[in-house]
Amino acid sequence: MPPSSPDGGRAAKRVDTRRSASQTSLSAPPTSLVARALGRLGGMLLVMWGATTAGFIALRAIPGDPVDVMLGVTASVGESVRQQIRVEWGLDEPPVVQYFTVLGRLVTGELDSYQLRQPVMTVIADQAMPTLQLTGLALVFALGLATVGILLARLPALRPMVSTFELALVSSPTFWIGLVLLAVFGYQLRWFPTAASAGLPALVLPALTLALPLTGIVSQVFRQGIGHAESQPFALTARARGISDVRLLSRHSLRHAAGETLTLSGYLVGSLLGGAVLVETVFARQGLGAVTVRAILGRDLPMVLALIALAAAVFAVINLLVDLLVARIDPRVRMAG
Amino acid sequence: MTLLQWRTRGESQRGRGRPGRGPRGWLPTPGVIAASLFLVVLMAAVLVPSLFSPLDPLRADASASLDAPSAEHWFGTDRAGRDVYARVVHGARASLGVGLGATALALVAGLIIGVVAGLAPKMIDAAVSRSIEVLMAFPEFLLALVVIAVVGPGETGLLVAVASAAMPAYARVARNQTLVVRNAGYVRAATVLGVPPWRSALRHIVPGTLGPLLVMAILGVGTAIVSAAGLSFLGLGPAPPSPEWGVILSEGRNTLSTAWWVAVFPGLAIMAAVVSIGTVGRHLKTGGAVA
Amino acid sequence: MGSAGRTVTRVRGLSIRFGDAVVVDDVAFTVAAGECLAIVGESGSGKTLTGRALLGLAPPGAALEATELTVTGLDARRYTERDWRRVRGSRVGLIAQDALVALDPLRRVGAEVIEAFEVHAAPGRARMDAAMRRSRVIDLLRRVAVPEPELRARQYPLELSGGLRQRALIASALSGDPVLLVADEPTTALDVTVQRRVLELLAELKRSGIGLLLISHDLAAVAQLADRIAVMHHGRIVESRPTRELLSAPEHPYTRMLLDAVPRPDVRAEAGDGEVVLEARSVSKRYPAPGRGVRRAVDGVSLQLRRGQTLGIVGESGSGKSTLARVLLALERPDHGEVLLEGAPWSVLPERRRRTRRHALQLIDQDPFGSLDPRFTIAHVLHEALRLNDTGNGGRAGARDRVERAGALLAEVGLETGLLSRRPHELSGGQRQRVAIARALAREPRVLVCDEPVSALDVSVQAQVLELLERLRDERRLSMVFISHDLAVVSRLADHVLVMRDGRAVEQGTAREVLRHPEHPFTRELLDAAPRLPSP
Repeated sequence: MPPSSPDGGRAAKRVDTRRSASQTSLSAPPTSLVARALGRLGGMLLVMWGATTAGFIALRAIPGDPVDVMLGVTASVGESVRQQIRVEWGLDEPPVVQYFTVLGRLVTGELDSYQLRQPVMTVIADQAMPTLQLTGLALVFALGLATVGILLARLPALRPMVSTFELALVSSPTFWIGLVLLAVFGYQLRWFPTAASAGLPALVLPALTLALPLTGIVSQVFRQGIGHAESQPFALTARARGISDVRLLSRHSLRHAAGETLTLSGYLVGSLLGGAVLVETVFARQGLGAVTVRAILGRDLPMVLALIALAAAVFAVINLLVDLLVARIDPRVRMAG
Repeated sequence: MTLLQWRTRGESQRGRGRPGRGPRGWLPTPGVIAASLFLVVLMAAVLVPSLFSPLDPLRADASASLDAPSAEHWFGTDRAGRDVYARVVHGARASLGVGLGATALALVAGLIIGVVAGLAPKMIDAAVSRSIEVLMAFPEFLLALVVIAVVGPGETGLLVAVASAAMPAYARVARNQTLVVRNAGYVRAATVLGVPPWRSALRHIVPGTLGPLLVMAILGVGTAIVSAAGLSFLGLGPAPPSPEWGVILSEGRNTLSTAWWVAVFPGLAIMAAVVSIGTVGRHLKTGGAVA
Repeated sequence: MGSAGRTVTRVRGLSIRFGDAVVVDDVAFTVAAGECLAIVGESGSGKTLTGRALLGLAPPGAALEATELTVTGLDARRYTERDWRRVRGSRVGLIAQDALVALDPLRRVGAEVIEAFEVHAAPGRARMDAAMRRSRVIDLLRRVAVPEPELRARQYPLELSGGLRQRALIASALSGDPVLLVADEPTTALDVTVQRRVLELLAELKRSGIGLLLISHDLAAVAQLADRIAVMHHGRIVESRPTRELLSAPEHPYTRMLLDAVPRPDVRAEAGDGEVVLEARSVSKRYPAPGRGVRRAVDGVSLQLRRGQTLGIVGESGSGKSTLARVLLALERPDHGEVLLEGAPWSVLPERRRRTRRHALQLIDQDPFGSLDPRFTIAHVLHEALRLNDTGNGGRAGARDRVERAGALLAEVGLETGLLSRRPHELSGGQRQRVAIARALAREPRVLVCDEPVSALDVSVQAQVLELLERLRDERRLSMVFISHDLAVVSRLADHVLVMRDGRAVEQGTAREVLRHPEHPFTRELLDAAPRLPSP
């Protein structure tokens, strides 16, 4: 990073020339779409495999007997029964064999949870819905609120207020926001039910909890994106054409900011899933987050591995979608690919 | 001479155009001053908590269970009748300790891994980068959860978990920055002069990489505090009666229907700490003091 | 020349300040229809801000005063932002420096070209239909001589070559039919051959009746186009006269200095016929191209540099001259061929064995901003090099007089020893380049590779640095490889010239042969296109 300097401009000029010259070859046809898609799929599987393998090694390193996990700590069972269970679950095999067995069963969907004694696939399928509802609504809230924030921040008078509010939201622990919302709107004002079983109204507070920190991040990144775009030379050219602020935003900077915000999606979905763990605990809800906490605390190896694989898959898919979308917005990305 | 109407879009967007290299960029805003003062107070609370609250954060008083905030108990009392203010003040040590410790740990580990990957042959770099990518694919919080399941709950576990969850991000930045610095003109100049690569790495590359990482670490302390609070909220941090912000919050969850104060104040403390760190960190970042 | 029509803009008493700093000071000029006024100045002279004033666009915090500021006869001093918006694009157009960043990279060329027209012509009418837009875009692109306008309109700026992109940018400025064009360094980012064609296009626009305010650092480049030249220095116009007069009989000392600094093509006599110190035997270097295939950055180049000689390597951007420099320096290993240093193997050695001989071959890099570690003081920078000399003879003894030697080196490159405690960002570009030269000298090299050593510097500083290099070469009896895109600069120093294009050496020989009797058409084109001042 060369420090800025009054006569640093000319150096940049020559450097730019280089860049533009090297780009004449960019119009070469890209490698075939099928090959690229296969490459992405391979990468995705690689990440899933790496993650589950790391998870397996990590969890096998934990001292303790998996049979305890299955039976519960209080159960008093004879050693012969324990041995029988071990054989039944393949726990007497060498770790390498266990690893491949677990991996194989994970792929075919036959892996059973230690704690729940049912296929992990079934557990995930059962619990996915509440979490999807929660995160989906949260996403809607977050985008809506972020839009409001961005629009308010266009007014110079409100900008300091908006950015203070953003900073507060980004800096607060998700679960604490949940506690405050629950205390104010649940227990004090009684606008929303506090029990999770109350259907859609019960979903509002948890979704809002999850949405608020995201709102702060999205609107921050988006506003920075707009600021960045409008400080670039093309914005000067555009203004020199006599266009209005509204047009500068709608025809130029919006697209740039959207691209920058999109690349954040992976992080956002991550926060949603990570946040769901805490939010489901705070609001005593069912869902994958609660399952995750239970599985990790209970050292339920199969369940944890399945959740890891699921998370990795979700991320790979999200990143793929983001890449496609960004390439649609930005020809520079499209051509470099 | 007449003064012209000279209004541009730019003018209404003060503070964006010129990053504060000049003397004016260095004047801290009132917000930065307030944040710095709060951090000083917080550090004092970490070092000498009794300065702020003479009460014992662990002393239960059955007769004062769930008292609302009053002159005697500024933040009220919890179910066991312990003073919430005293608990929040004494909790600063554990929470900030984990935040700072975990960040330092993540920074050092990330720096070493990143610089080594950036300078190593392509094969090793690719392997390390892929591994970092895999780790980065997980939300930091889930990663911390998995790590704590492995190392076990408790204060040490918390520290290690939060640090390992944060580490991949540092390693990635360190690696990318290493690549940038490695191709910088002054590193090429060193090669041409005949400086041996190890000395070039030590004198140019590591210092050049450290700058951006330090900026990141300042903001990272805030994230680490929040992650640590989340984990201890789930019961994975220090054991319950001990004062720690996440622990107090989780006690507050159980009494939320009748006593909001137990949960609200420690959360406010977290928010204030993280906001202050973020404000000061951002000021240092744009001031170019660290980078 | 200038069939001066009616005045399109008149400025008197224009001052612009940021807080207490006056950056434009009491500037006055007029531009008439069909006339070109060039404002020439070095970086920081205030020329860009002056141009922006005609569009009502200034960076944040600028305060502006003027006794007169008219645009197409209307007093613009009390214009509001809304008034300015009606002026921008429709009466005054802006052509910025580098079209790669001056056009929105995310929008198609057609959309960028038509925007000013849309904004100014469309209100009133309900909506322009697509066919009308398209034909207007094609017309505009034709007007600036863009081939295949239908295709280009659908492409993105990134897909166009530098020259076409600059033409598209000009088309977008013409879109609203302005009477005045402010062109701010419109050709600086372009290769000379392209630069000449863009200047010709601007001349054509001028003939069509548009007033042109040309802002540039390059006297030679504007000399052919401008009817009048205003020289700007520290915010003031120090001299403003018709081009021919100003060039032939400059009055102000600053103008004279600028003129003297313009490197004039010159042919040096052949020098040095000693032994070969640096030799490349048909070296090639390929890189994987984006997409697939390879790009031959350097393709079978051979050269010989004898003791005391200076070999100039000329080429446009992307011709492979910098890659060749890196191969000569053994920073990159050639895919084919071999480099020999002082008659011994060089490029084939492992780096460990090269290190003991690196001192003989030193580099002056293009970018004086990146070549010094921003965390090091100048003393540090020089000590790093000096210490390497000491490793052979005891080390300790050397440490004591290192400070002294660093001071002597600075003196040799014309800097004061007081700079030793400074850091690079406290130095000007010229000073930094001198430090880089001092650092190279510290290792007492026999061969110096200079890669565009002055292209990042202002003209006046350029001349000084070239002079320094020349002096050092003669005093220290150095051999030199001098790489530049600028033929005039190369011809000043080099006694042998190698012309590169697309990775190949298309012509090489003594400076006399190549510059006086070029054989390859590309060399002739380069020589023709090089902007030069009319001979006095």
